[in-house]
Amino acid sequence: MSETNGFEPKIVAYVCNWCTYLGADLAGTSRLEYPSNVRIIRLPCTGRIDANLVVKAFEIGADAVLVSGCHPGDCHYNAGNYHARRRWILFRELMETIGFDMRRLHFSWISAAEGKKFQQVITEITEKTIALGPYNPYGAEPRVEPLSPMPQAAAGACDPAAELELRTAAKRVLESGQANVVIGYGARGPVFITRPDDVDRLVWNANCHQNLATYLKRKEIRALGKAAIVMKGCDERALIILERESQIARPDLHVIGMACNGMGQPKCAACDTRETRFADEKISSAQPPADMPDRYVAVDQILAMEPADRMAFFTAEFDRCLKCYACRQVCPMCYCERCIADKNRPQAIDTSPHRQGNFAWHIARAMHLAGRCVGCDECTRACPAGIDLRLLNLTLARTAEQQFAYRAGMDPALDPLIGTFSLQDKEEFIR
Amino acid sequence: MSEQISRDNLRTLVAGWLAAGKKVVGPVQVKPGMALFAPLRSADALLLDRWVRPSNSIKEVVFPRHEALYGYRIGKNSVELFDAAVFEEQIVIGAHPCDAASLPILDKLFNWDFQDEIYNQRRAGVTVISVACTESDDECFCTSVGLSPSAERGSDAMLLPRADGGFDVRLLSDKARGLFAEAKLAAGSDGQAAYAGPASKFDPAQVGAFAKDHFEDPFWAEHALACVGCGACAYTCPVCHCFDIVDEGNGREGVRARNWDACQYGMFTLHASGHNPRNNQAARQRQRIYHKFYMYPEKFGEILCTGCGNCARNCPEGLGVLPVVTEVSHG
Amino acid sequence: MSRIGVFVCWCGENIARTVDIAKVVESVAEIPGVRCAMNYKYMCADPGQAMIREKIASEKLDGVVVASCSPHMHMKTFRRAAAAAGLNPYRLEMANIREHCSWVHADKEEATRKASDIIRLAVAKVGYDHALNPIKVPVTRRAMVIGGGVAGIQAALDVAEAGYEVVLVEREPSIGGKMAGLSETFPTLDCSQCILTPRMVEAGQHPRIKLYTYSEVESVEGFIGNFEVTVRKKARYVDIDKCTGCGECSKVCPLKKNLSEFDYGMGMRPAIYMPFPQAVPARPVIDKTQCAKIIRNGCGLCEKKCAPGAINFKDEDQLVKEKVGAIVVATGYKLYSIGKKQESEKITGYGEYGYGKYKDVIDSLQFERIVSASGPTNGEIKRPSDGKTPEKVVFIACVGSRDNAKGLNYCSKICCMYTAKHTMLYKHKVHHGEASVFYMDIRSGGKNYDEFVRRAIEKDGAKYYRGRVSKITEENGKLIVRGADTLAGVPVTIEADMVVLAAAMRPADGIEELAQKLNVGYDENGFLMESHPKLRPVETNTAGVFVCGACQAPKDIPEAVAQASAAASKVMVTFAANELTREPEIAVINEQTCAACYACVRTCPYHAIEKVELRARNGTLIKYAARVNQGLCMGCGTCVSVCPSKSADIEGFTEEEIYSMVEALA
Repeated sequence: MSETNGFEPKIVAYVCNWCTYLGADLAGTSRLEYPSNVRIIRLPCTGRIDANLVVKAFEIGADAVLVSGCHPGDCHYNAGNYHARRRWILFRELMETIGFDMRRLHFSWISAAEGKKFQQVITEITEKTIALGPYNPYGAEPRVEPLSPMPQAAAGACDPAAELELRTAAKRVLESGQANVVIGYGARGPVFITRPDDVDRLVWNANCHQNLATYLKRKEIRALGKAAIVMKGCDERALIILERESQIARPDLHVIGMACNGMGQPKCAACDTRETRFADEKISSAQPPADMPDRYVAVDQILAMEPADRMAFFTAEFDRCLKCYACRQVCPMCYCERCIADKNRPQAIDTSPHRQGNFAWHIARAMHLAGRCVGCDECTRACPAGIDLRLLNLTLARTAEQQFAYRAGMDPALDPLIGTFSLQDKEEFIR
Repeated sequence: MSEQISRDNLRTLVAGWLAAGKKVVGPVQVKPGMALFAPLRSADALLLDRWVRPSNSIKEVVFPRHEALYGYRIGKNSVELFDAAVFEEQIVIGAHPCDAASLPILDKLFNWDFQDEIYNQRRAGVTVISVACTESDDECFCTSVGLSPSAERGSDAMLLPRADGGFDVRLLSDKARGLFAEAKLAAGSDGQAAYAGPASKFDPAQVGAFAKDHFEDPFWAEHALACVGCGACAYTCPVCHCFDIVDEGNGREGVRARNWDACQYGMFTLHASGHNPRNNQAARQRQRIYHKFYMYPEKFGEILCTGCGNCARNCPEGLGVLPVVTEVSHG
Repeated sequence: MSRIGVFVCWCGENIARTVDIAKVVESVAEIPGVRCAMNYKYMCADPGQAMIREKIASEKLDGVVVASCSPHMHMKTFRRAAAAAGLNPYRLEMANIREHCSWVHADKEEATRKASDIIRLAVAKVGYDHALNPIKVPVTRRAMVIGGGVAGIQAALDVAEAGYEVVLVEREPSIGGKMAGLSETFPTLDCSQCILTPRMVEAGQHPRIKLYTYSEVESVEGFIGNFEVTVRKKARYVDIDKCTGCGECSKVCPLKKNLSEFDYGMGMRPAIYMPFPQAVPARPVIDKTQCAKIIRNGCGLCEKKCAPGAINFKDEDQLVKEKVGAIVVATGYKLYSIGKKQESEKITGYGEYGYGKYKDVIDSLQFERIVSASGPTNGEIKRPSDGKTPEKVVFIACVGSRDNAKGLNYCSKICCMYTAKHTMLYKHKVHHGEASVFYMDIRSGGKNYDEFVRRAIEKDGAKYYRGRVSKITEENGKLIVRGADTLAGVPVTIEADMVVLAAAMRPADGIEELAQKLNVGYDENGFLMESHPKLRPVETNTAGVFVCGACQAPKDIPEAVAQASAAASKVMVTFAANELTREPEIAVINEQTCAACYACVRTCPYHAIEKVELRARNGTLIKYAARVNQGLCMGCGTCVSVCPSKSADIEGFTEEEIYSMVEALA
């Protein structure tokens, strides 16, 4: 277009085959003219359009991305657009927190009869993008400016009797053959007690940080036989998700629930699961903190910043990422046999620890944990580069709780957040 | 050696380097309780006031986590290649002796058969100004691997902290002397006895000896159980040097890049056939110890460890070299 | 390196006017992998197709891009051409440079650039296209029809007549459904049983129809072409093979005062009974909740009286399995339970109409029995309370229907018509009687329908009041009906002898459980979901499961029958070959990398993904994984999006294809 000072925005449109693609066809048969900047990628259904694709479009230099499909109720496959809509709600919140320019990310329902609407949407997006100018989300100057310190909880006092009780319980389950291995905490970190005589290696103190549930996915641990596992109330939420996702058979697992007064982690300040709820045996008791801050205060702090500043902040954070995958490996929910990051045909997420690859990785990771992350914050604790990964997880957890009354791992009866939908899911962002 | 520099003058010197557009890498605070070696944005950011052990190492100045080896463009019937790497002068300040010692070790690796030009060109541009340690923590063990809190190996200069906050300066190379030419140095002698460091915790030779005939020992499996298979140990290790080659592009053009890789990853040794010779974490953990204390010494005559303790500090599950080798060494 | 041919179409002037074809050809010829770039005036015309075929052969092309119109227009055409030349048709892609380019952009330079880009995407994609072959699914050419009302009977007979076996499952002791109990039907007033019973007999005697009455579907396994349905045959206590249907048992049964289900409580029946005289099968059943022998080992008269010895008090439920290739659901409707406790809190009922409290307030199906010649009053109109002929009858339409406040917001569709019919039937039998109707709107669309309503009003003198009834009370043996005539703007009070409520149609009890067994969706009212309201009205989202009749939505007999025949024809299409051929552009799962989280299983709108155990040859479990049922998958790709490791993929839209397209835009 001539009035653009030479700037021809690149606009990528992911559209479903049955509504928006046909809407664009109708715009054609009706000879409805619109700017030529859009490049359409046809997919079967909006249900197929995932966050990785949107991120990839920005990576290849898109100045704006449109995702468009059938109106609610019109999906050729009945519910693909509903599934998509729920994911978009979460994805948008994540991108918002990270500081992506949300004026570049568009969603619409355009039916096969709405050639006119297709024309309007494309025209408006193009004009808006021209006004905004070129976009490079990966060009921010990193802003190395630590957030105001997170609510830090002092480590609570551990009940000394509890340690003794724990060892007794461990001895009992091993001797009785109820379990072949007790997964618990030792002096330096996790220990795997297989002999009743070794139970004194188990400790219970204020350094029992790890969420041991992550070991349930490891074949080396599975090979040890039936497990008993030491769980804090917060860790236990992971078991609920793992069971829901067919990763563990809960009846085969003996859970020793330890009441916890906090391990001095940021998450402990707002912890309302100080005791396990579904453990097979519970040791000691604990009270939630009297003065509990909002769980999501850290997200509020981030969102108080301007989007560009958020982008600069996360650029600094992700620039430190080494792609050591400690975040992934400690996460009880990351149990894939082959991580998407390790899939190279195609390489949806660049393996390189450069800025773009790091953004893609952390966005994908957060999205995969949407509605699944139980907030154990192991990723954040494990990161050798000190990246505040919990901000991403908290963003999605907050959306899940506020928009869908869903907290991962709290209610075993609840259907997962992703893979379900409600006709009432909000769509004020979709035009 | 008989020169010293005040802390303020050292900062002024660093500020001068930065002002001259030089890239200066040193320990900076990134989070409460976490320091990293990173390019300095200002001399004030350089942590000089107290002993800190950054969570990473300085190997990135010669062996970046990601570097383009060359670019390519696929034409209709041809492939064009382009040099990608741009080399610059880099000054490392505030390295510990365990960091500085990593460079001579890496030099051997990158030059024993194939002369890695890209590495060597980077290496030639690096000047390492170390600061001797005045303390250590539970994970430190330089004294067990033949180094010490003021060992000079790999350093172009050594700064020894003084009680008055300044440093005794030992300039060990012409590069360092050049950099310090403008410095306001005062005459003076080494004012105090150097910190002796932690007592030796194990004997590396014994580890090598044990490794030699205990490949199948159940010991390795027991000690690997807690390992979750991340690369935090390898990536923060000053001398771990494994890398992966990837092509990144769009089918028409792109770069061939070298990225760090880590032996603890399940896919590290995965063959295209699906076979994986190290198909469990015990084999991978064992490999890490073997490489450092048995294989590398066999090939290069020295162990692949500088005793920095980063592996243990950064391991989310409390593992690391030290606990394993201590146990081996003590039977 | 691929050998890709690009064929750019001018579409006469349609593309060539705004797209510089020569320039486009020149630019795409430079794309690595492009072996030849051709252009022609009309690619879809025979010479154009011939050019494609010729080049595939001469250049040994392994991928083709046709840059022309929308794939929705000519994909099939060009794929056929490719196949004819020996290229796998799924290695042909289209670049839409007409609808998405030349027709919508005026600037030739821009349109030319965009056209080149669009082709570049298609070339990128085709390089990753897999050669695909249509999927074959074996078919058991045998159908099940669930529900033996008029729709089910129609569907079963149609399929059976086409030569396939049908298993007809009916919950009640006899087929016939609601229609068997109706008096006369609108708009012709022909006798319901006269039309239906021959069809019932036909179904009962058809050599290819296997009848399971008094039976219910217990569980459904499998998928299109390959269902295995477990049917629960409820204990009937009468051996229907031995029984001759003589009826002696019912005569001797001392417990005769049980409310008849068939008469909706308007009549009585013994504890061992035939639901109605024309029942198919004409065999009795024992109500085990009433029979003295079963309850307390008393009586036993029927057993003694039964000459063939068909009574078996020890009878038990039996589970039988039936393999079928298609299932038709025709479970019909029930009436809104006006006064009783409702199954949902949202539905509040109509306590103010006194149904259940006043004997002479009845629902429409009860009235059908009263007015029916085979009914408890032999067709004489007598009110339930005292058997007197009602002089004034009030009919209230839309009881439950179209009433958001009371719960159901849909129109039950048939009530306007049968209410008009009721007034006529009443007036024909009680000539001096007065029939009044309260209605909201009269919806009488249909052949001869409005004429029928007009006849009721104009010829038979039914009084129609457009308004609602607020309350019914009883005073001195009269039902005081207080309502409004909103057209006249006056309140209306009628002292009626009987009130008939046109209660809403609801799906039959147990529909949701059945829907879940079949993996068929249902709406908020419980009506089964058709796959597409216009284009696939009798299909469901589960391939091989079809719907007809009132289980899908309220409808009248002609509609239910038409839909039944439609469902039957869909069954026949399914059975047309020994194997079903399905499009291969569906999901595949890499079982090796699948982590068995089953997010896909939960998400799939078609329940097309199943959990599998991968076992070694010696039987040891290697791992769990998800697997796509090729008979069910429709290829939407929702599974791919939710698969964290992207072990799921969609053929025709694989990850490699999509990313190659995006990257071609870099």
